[in-house]
This record gives sequence, structure tokens and C-alpha cells, in this order.
Amino acid sequence: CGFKLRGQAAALPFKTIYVTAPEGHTIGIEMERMIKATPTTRLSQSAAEAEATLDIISAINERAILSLSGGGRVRDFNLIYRVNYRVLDNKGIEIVPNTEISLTRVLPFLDAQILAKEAEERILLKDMQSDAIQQILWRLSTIKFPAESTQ
Amino acid sequence: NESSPVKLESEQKSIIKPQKKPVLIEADRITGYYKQEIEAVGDAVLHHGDNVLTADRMKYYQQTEDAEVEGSVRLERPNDVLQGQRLEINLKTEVGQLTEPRYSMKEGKGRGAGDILLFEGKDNYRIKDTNYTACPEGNHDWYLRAKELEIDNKKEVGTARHVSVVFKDVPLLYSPWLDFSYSGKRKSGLLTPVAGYNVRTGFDVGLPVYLNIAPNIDATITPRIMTERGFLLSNEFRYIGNNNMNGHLQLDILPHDIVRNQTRWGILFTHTQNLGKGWQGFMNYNQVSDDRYFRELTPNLAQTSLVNLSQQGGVNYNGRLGTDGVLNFTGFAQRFQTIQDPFALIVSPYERLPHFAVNAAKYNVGGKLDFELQSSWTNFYHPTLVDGNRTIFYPSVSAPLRNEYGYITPKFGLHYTHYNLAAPVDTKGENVDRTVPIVSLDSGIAFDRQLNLGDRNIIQTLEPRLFYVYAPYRNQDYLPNFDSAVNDFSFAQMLTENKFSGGDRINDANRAVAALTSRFVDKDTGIEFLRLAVGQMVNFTDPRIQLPLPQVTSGRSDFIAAISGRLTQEISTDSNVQIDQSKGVIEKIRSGISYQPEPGKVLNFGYRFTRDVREQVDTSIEQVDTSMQWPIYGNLRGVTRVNYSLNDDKILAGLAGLEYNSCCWALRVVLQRLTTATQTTTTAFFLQLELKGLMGLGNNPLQVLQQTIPGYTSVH
Repeated sequence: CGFKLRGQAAALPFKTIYVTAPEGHTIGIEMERMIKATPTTRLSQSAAEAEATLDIISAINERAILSLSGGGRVRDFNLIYRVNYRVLDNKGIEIVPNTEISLTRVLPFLDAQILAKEAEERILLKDMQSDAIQQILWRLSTIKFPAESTQ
Repeated sequence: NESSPVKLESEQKSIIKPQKKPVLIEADRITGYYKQEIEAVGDAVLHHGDNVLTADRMKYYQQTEDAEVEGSVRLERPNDVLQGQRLEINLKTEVGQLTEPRYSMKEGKGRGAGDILLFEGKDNYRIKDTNYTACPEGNHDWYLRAKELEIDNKKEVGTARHVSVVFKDVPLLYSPWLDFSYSGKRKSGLLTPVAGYNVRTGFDVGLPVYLNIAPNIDATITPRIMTERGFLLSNEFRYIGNNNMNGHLQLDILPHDIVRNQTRWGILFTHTQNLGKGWQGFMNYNQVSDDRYFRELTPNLAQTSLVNLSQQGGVNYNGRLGTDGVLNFTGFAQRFQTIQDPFALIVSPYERLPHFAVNAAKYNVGGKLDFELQSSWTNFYHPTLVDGNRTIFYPSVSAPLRNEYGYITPKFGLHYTHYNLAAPVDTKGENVDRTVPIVSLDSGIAFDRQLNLGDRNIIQTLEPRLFYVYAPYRNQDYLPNFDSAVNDFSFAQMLTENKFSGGDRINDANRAVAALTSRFVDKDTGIEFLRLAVGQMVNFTDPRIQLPLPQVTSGRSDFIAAISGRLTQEISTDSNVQIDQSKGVIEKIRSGISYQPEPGKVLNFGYRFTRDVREQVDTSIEQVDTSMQWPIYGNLRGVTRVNYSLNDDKILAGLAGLEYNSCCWALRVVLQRLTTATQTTTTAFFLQLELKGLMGLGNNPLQVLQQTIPGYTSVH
């Protein structure tokens, strides 16, 4: 029905890319690992030697109350993961302006299990992080670079 | 009549020196005495520095630099425009007076009229018997009526004395003193008050005072008077440091609760500190004086639903291990204050005093193997349950085989746990351990195709994934349960080796999970807008390890289907269903649909069902949840949220808010009904009148409500 085999990782339009991310956050390291797995893009060690810089501005997680028990206690949290990123070219000019990707997952919750739920929350945050990385790479793969006008 | 005036110049212009700033006068007719005085009549204009003065007639005395001006006086200055009947001013000292003054600020919308305006130097003046408003010309919805108003153009502050605040011609408030920033600058001062009524507190009025301590530090102190409870002082303190720290402290105290005859207080504190080089420090300290504190004194769902208040401090490190590896370290100590509901008592969680974890991974070793290590040491303490410390050491190795289209990752790990307990759980003693080998195989492949929907180019993917895990049965009845529970059965959790979270139970597994995901991605932007997924779990042998009560998720689900994303530009959904195939029953449904035709307009409807939540007794959860943010008519808009329990047949949370936003004021009304404990509800009502341009807006009760609505957008 028209489906063809495709690469797991989308090819990026840059030969070299540099990644910056909030210090102490795992998203930068994970993003670098995924970029290394792409077929045609190499990771640079500095912005100066890269064709483009992927600047992960922030990656924050929040929780909102989704449902309550009959006694007014939380039964489900909605976990929200927001990543903001932008892409700069070699001269520091924005090719992609600040863009937000927001993902959610549901965490069923019982107060008596708060320690166990903390571990489960980590599984979901990690899942959302790899989902976000995948979605950023999809979006980066559609960038026209170098821009068509510069012929 | 002046005697023999000396004509200075024949034209209608005259430049007089030697002032520091030259004075230039234009008029239809100018007469005067040389170096003494000038009289200008008819469309007279005087330029002095940045100031332009126009009037029917004016006299200017060069020696003293005094000006006497009459008839349609208009003085335009960098910060304001002043108009009146008669002006006497010294241009050098800027001291003088203006009768029948009308004034308007250039920064902000402040304006007013008065009896007399007294100039008191370069940046200050004072108006007697004045009214002041920030409403646009022709509108007097609100104004201040003050005996005296002092304007400081340097600080952009107005200070009124003996002042009444009048709204729609009704005096609302009298104060001997009131100051405000007419330009809307952040400054210390009164914030917009909130008044309300709550069945538990009676009439409730808060008068917040904002303290602008430094550019990155502020505080809001709110004296709150509750007719049924007494006087509560609420203090909020916020700070941020140059990208390396931020903190928030809320400290409330009710020195004497009239009903309970005791002192009540609450503290909520968080602090994070970026220590550099991948290290972060974090701390939180939350405590309240008694179990009913939130339920009785805060009509805020996020607080009334709180049970375990964390008191924690620690550090976290995330960094690299060589060029191709990661290293994570966490260390903290944590305990809790557990707020009990007398009708639904819970066992408080274990305190971790302390907990250390090291997780490391080294990838591509020899170009083929990935090594991982998860390890932790925790000392668990509990006042009534068995105490002890636990060491976990879980090394694993995987060999990812990857080509362009897919991957297969075989993995082998050995999970070792050692306990050192204060008392034995079973007959095996205090020093016990457990070793479980875990083997898994994860594989995936990806296909895609192009679809054309109208003029949209879409890529649809098809991503099958197969996951198998084997772990032998180990009797674990002799181990305590410090931090384990069954994970929910959803896509992230079902593709894990252990269906239990925490470290005390390792499942016996011989199961496979097959999942199929299909994404719809816009080809031109790469934006994923819709995702469909199904997953099926097959247990080849019956799992034997079970956890006793309480559980919030059932371990019986084995099929899941989900859809999330945009169905059209305006309609989106996030829904999934879990089914127990052996019984042929639905274990869980979570469905939500949102209609969002434009920012500021959203309608949400959700339905949630969970079979047999084992908390106290086996009960199902069945709820509907509707919420909306909608402009009702013109400047009137509303937000509502209703969370209704079908099996309790009652509203768990009902919130409704209305906001009327006029050009110079806003009125907000919020009504809410919350379940705060078993058989306990609270109903609260708030009212806030914001006079724009007079006070800063602190606590906006509508904003708090809105943030609970999925997809809400700020209209301001």
C-alpha cells in the first residue's frame, strides 16, 4: 500500500552541526547521540566550525492535576514537557526562530506510592525527551539549507 | 499701562541671553524693556529647553527669569502637558503655580484636573483638590479624588493625600495616603486587592503590598482578614540569580485562629542552584501547622489536593563519560509531612536518609557494545514500618545492530540487590539479597509513504516494534517494599523490562510486546500532527510476583490503542483505551477532545475510566471533565472547569470565572467548589476590581483558574 522502508533517523541538511543545551540537562547529550546516528551529519565541537548550531534553549517539565479521587486527592497527573529550540547558521543568524514543542503523558498517581511514582515519572520524562528529540530532528530535516535564495 | 516701552525688535521674535538655556519667544506682538521684561500678546509661544509654553499673553522678566502667563495656558514638557488659566513660574528654579490646572502624563495614561498646581522644582509638582484617572479622555469610570496629589516625574510616581477611590461615581475606599506609578513601572506599593467569601473563612479580604527589593528580588506581603478566622499574614518572596539560581518562598501565618483557637502556619519553599560543570543543587521545604491547614485556608486545588509535603535537599550531576558516554549522580535526603484525611488514612511514604544513585553508560565500546550501570544506595526510614538500607547494582550490556531501516538490540543484565534491615520481613533474616538475570531483545523497523490531502503533503510512517523480556521467578516475599509499585500500562511503561517501578520487586517475565505506531508528519515543516498506536502484550508464562494493596493501576491490561494529535486544524484529541483480553473487559479509558478555533477560545471534553483502583476498597474511577475558555460577548469572557465523578455522583472540582475587561479597569469574579477531603467540600467566591494604571496586579484569581484548563492561552 505504498509504504517503503525508510531510515530510522531523518537526514539533516547540514554536514556539520553543533549542539548547545542547558548545562546539567541530559537532553543535549541525548540529542548529540541521535545526531551521530544520522547518516550524513557530523557533530562539531564548537559553533565556529559547524555549518549550523542547534540551540536547545530550555527543556522543562511541569505537572498539572488531571483527575481527582472522591476525596479530592490527585489520581492522575498530566506531565507536560516543553522544549524550546532554535537553529543558527555559522554567522549566528537564526535560520529557525525559537520554537516550542510540548508533549504530555499521563501519570496515574496514589499518594501512598509517591516514591514509586517518582521512578515512573522518570520513565515518562525520558520517553517524552526522546520523543521530543525525534520530533526536532524531523523538523530540522525539512530546513532548506543553504537557503535557496543564495544561488 | 507701561510707560514708553522700548521696542526690542521689529519682528515677532526675540532671543534673550545670557541664560544657560536660551529663551525664545514668538507672538503676534512683542513689546518690552531692554534686559528687563518682555510682553508677548496673541498666540504667544515661549521655548525654554525642552519646554514649550503657549498662551494668549505672557510677560517674561529677564533678570529674575520669572514668567507671568495668562489665557489658554499650555505648557508642554518632556514628561507631561499642563494646561490652565494663569501661570506664574520661574524658569530657572521651576517654582511657581498654575490655576485651574489640567494635567496629563506622556508616559502612561494618567491625567486630571484640580484647583491649583504648585511647581516645586524641576521634576516635582503638586496639585490641590484634584481628581486623577488613567481612563482615556471623555471617560471617568474610575478616578481618585484627592486633597493633594504630588507628582514626581523622576520616579514616575504619584502620591495622593486624603484620597478617595471613586468607581462609577461610587466612592469605594478612603485613604490618608496612596502612591502609585503613573507610568506602570514596577515599584513597591499596593497591589490590586482581592475580596471574597468562603464558607470556611467567612468574608475574606487581602490587601497585597508589593516590595520591589532589587531587580531580581521581590516580595508580596498580604495582610488578609477573614471574619471567621482572624488575621493572616501571607508573605511571598521570589529571587533569581544570574542564570544560576532561583527560589520561591511562601510563608503564611495566622497567629490566632478564632475557630480552632491556635496558631496556624504554612511554609512552601523551593530553591535550585546551578553549581556549574553539570552540577545542580536543589532544596525544598514544605510544612504546614496541621492537617486541615490547606483545606480550610487555601481555596486552591493545587494545595488542597496535597498529601505528602516534601522536605528535601540534594545535588544532581549530569555529564559525559568520555566522548561517547554519560554519567549521572544524584544524592539527596528527603522526608515528608503526610497530611491525613481522617476518612482515608494512608501509610506515609518512607523517608530516604539519604539516597545516592550513580548511573553510567558507555556506548560503542569496540564499535559494537553499549555498557550501562544503574546503582544506588538508600537508607529507608519509617516510624512504623521496617527500616533498612538497600544497595542496588545493575550492570548490563547490549549489542545494538542497526542499519538504515531498523535495529535489533539484544541486552543482558544482572540485577543484584542487597538489604540490610532493622528487622526481618520473613524468616530469612536481616541481611538478605536477590539476584535476577534479565534478558531482553528490542527491535524496530520503519516504513513511510507520501499522502496528499488537498494541497498538503504528508508523510505517513509505519513503525512496528517488537520487545521481548525474560527474567526468571525469584521469591521476593522476604523483601520489604520501600518504593515499588506496578507501572501503568501505557506505551512508555510497557516497553520496560520491569513492570514494577522502584527497586524492591523485579518481575518474573517471559513476555513479548508488539507495538505499531503510525505518525502523520507534514512534509514541508516536519511537524508531527497525528499519531496512532496499538500495542499488545503476550505473557508466555503467568507472572507470579504480585504486589498487595494499594495500587492505582491494574496489572491485567494487555492491549492498548491510542490516538493523539490534530484531527483537523481546530479539533485535537488525546485518547487511549486499555483492555484485559482474558476477561474481555476495558480496564482503562482516557479520552479527551479539544476544540480550539483560535487562541483564547478552547473547549475541552474528557472522559476517564479506571476499573478497580485498589486504594481502600476496590472502586472504579469514572469521571467526566469539561473545561472552556471563551469570549462571551464583547469584553466579557469566561472560563469554567467541571470535574464530575460519575460513581460518586458529585462535582469534585467546579470552577467558574468571568472577566470584564474595559479600557481602564477589569472586573473578575471567580466561583469555585472543591472537594478537599472525603465528605468535605469548600465553596469560595472571589471578586477583584483592577483599576488599570493605579495599582499593579498581583494575585489574579482568574489566572490561577485558567492555568488548570488545557490549551488555555493568555489573552493579555
